[in-house]
Amino acid sequence: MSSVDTQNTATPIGKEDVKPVLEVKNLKMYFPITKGLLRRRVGEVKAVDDVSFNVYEGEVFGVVGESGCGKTTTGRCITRVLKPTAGEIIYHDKRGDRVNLSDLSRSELRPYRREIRMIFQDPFSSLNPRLPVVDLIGEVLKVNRIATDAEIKERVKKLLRQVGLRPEYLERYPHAFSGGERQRIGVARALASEPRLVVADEAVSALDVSIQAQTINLLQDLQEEFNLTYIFVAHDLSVVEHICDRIGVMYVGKMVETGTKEEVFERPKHPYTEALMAAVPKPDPRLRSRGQRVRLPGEVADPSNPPSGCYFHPRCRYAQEICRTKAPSLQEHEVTPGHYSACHFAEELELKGVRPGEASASA
Amino acid sequence: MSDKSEKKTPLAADPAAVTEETSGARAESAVGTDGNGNVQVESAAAAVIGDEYASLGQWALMWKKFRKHKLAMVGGVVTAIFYLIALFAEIIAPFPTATYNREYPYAPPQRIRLILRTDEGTSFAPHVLGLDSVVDPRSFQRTYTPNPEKVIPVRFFSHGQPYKMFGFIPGSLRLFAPAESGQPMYLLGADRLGRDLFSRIIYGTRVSMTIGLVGVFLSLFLGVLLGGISGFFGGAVDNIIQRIIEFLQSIPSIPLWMGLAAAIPQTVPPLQVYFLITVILSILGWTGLARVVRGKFFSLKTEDFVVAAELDGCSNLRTIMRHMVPSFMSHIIAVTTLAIPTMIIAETSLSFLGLGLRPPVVSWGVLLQQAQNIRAVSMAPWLLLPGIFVIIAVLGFNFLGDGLRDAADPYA
Amino acid sequence: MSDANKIYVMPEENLVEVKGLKTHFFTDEGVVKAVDGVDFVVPRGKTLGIVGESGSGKSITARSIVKLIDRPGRIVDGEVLVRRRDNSIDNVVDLPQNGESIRRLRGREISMIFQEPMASLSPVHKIGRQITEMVQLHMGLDKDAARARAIEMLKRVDMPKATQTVDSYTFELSGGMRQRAMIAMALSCDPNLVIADEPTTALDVTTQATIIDLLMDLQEQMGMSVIFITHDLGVIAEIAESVVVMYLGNVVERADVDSIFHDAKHPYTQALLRSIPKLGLEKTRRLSAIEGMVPHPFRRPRGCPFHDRCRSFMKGVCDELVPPIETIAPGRQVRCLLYSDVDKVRAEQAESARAASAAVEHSEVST
Repeated sequence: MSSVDTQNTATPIGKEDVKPVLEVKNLKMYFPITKGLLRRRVGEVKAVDDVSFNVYEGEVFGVVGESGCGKTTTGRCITRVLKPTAGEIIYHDKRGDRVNLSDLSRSELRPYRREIRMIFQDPFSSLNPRLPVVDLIGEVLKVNRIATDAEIKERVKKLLRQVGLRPEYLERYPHAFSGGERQRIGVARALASEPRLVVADEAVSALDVSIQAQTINLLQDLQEEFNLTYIFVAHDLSVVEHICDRIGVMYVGKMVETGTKEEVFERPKHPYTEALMAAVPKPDPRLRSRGQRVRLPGEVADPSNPPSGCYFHPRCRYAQEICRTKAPSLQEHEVTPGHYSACHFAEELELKGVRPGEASASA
Repeated sequence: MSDKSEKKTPLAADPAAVTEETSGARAESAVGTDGNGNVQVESAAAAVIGDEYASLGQWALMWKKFRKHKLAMVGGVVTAIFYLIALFAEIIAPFPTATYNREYPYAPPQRIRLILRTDEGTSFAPHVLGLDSVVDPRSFQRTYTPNPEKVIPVRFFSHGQPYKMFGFIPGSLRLFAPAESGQPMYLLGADRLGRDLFSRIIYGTRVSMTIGLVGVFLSLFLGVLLGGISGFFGGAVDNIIQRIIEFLQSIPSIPLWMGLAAAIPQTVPPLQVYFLITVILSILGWTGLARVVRGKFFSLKTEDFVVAAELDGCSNLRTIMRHMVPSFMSHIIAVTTLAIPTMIIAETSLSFLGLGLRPPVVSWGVLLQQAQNIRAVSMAPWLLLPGIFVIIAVLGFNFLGDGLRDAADPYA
Repeated sequence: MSDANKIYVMPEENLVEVKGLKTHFFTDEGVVKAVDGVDFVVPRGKTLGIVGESGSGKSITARSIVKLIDRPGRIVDGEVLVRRRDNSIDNVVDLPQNGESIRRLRGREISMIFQEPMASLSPVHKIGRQITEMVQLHMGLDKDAARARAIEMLKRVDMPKATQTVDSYTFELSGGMRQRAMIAMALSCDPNLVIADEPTTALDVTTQATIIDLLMDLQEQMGMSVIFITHDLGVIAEIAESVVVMYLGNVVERADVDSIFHDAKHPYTQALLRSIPKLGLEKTRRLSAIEGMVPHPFRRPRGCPFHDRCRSFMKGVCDELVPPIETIAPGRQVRCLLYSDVDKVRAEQAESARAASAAVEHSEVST
């Protein structure tokens, strides 16, 4: 796996001095499929299959893909909600020490849980309806004995102010808040322990259009204020393009392309990325895509029974014989270092991205 | 960046009030449509909007929801009355259970008359009319006729026959009793030995209502413990416990109870019989509760807020006790409430069959035993009255439980 | 509403006209004005997009068209004129709730597609059977013809292996395929109007794109009108010819799709368009978000319901006067006081308030 080694040393263009916060190496998360009374193992769902990427300090790394591509599972492995089947998740802590989170036990993980936090997608199910705001946000401070009860109250008040809620809401229960406000509480909870890395799992997907914009702005403001690093897991490419610095595109458990936002969106190197972007409806009737753009035929492959070779080949319009037989590895591009893709024809294909030029019609 | 709306006051007089909306972000906010196309109207947040409501915890919300359920409120009141009767049986019953009067077998129910009309005029003087009995010389059947001349005055809060409350607090205060002790008064008629059925039903309430409660608590303890273990650890432990539950649930309950009850030796003192019966009832009762608890554990384990608690660094115990248990406690209470009437019915059935509690212990089932005799019932239909009490109590519990179940998840 | 024998007219090119529609929900806690003043027309063979956030009443509006409103909801005012098969015009509001006429309307003349296909497809019946039942009931076909129709419809929606899928159950299909099956069912009786309520919201972008293409192809072939309800402005831009923007139960703006996206008049429409991130179209660091949130329906702000979030808020005007709907050009309407003669509106509303209070006094005197 030479490609992986090269990636570990590479940094994003123009950011040579930036240190990684997280190195994910060959991450695998397989869920067993069991059958019968004795729970015999009859197969496995390869939700995440040999995924590698780095996340650098202060950046927003976006993980995109369709449902079932393993992006959420990847996020949950990093936060160690799940214990990965194999692979390394190397976290660089505050002192610069490297820790492999993937095989730490529950108690060993504790100190890192404060530094790597998570924002959930659903602002309703992620807040315990039976606890008031002060306990929801303050729980991490309390169980890690970071602050006394009185201090917790003060800090929660401050956090509420920072996420744009009134500090008086301390004693309110989640049911008194709207979806957008609840998501702000979720953000405050994630930030309570002064984390370095925040995994935002579809953090704005469930929100209404007008609330979504507020929340995206809030996340960006907080990132600047606290020098946070985000891993932003989302399916909405427009949101990802707006907020992320670098992007990883996943398809059926594999990372098929990573690179800076500009590279991936303007000069995609994987046919799936191209198809994904072509499918996003443009909010401008003058740019109607019907009939002009190629649609992705077929369905996302079944991760428990993926096709041979490149998983994407049955749906790929550029597929050749080699794609059916040989699985491509994630390769760095010669012309654009830092841009990786897993396609046999990455160098040859002229793929269409979203170009700012298209905006001229609407401007 | 901050929400302007929070600093504004849209309409309400309450300055701190904000716009509230609790439904799913992409569902319609107040009036949404569910998958089946039915229109649902959000009620939780809509009810009262303001600071007071915003800071209500789950129990307060449950109470709000429960109060709206009229039938459940009635059920709750009925249940409460029954337990008050059970608690103060000695005071409410005019006579101890064993007081008999050979002169009045199967005496019919009497009515308390409040106004006494005598030659001197009318006065307020509660009384019952004494009974004259005539024995039919051929059938030996007794017929009773009230005699307006025989006035038996009844006094409220009088001192009647002494008793020991709960077996150890001595007293003699009765809610009402004949002014002179020893005089008969049969509000709900008498049984074969001339014992006052009313008093016996009141005492029976204590046994019948508590046997359900004790049995359910025993079931609850077993159910929560084993269900919790099963649900939290999963895997092989879960597999074993579930198979045990399936086995127990496959046994027909009445024959099992009968078999176990019949195995209690006749020499065992009544109090021990009482406890043995509760144990017998809980042997099967816990399985249902264990399943509920296990199911809740399973569904909660993957719930985002439980994951969040784990990410906060909570220990297993703290995750369970602080984040999981409160989420299903209310539900468990509702399920438990619905399990009590089953226990009451089971006790009544066993005692009715003569396999449960035995005289001299008085329970509704024991009292109904006398109604097994068709002739006795045709002569003294009031012997069936304990059955009416069973029905009322069971319905009361069921309504209460229904309401609790509906209110159990005030966030739904 | 009782005027059942009234003759309605509407221009030949229109299929549906909704006028002053009000659907309220009478809950224990109070009245939710889910739809409170909605006007639009659906021309024949065209697509109308209804766009709005949660709580805008867009779904309830759609349901009101076929009178699928359950208690405690009720259409309290307005007309929903529908051109029937025989070219007669009915006011749906006047039709009996579950009468023969409305049942013929639903399914046969107007069909619906929902966000969640499993909600309208039965999990225990084969897909073919569900379609054949519909066409047997509504089109009077015999069993074999109905089955042939079902297979034809599945082919039309590009269902792979239609002759086999007709005998599958819904759980055997993927999300995109289920949505296709539902579209096949909705179109099987050759309806005049299809109401699609967020039909692509639960789908992935790539599937969404194919479903949108499919709907538009089918519309071209079959010539039906479509009401497409969504919160996604991008989808609206792709599919709609005319657009209705809703906010808190009101239509705030109505125009052709190009005007909505390039010449929006209502501050809410403008703000909505500004607030969405646009793929490849612009590079601003911050999004221009709408402040605040959609008010709770029990707390409708006085005056214009959008005034407390509006950039063009005029004190003493927007918070006092209810904006009337103004026609600013043919086919273009906007409900905003920026486009109204404020003095005239003030005078009118003062007058009607006086009349209302007078009526109350009068009724108090008479009782």
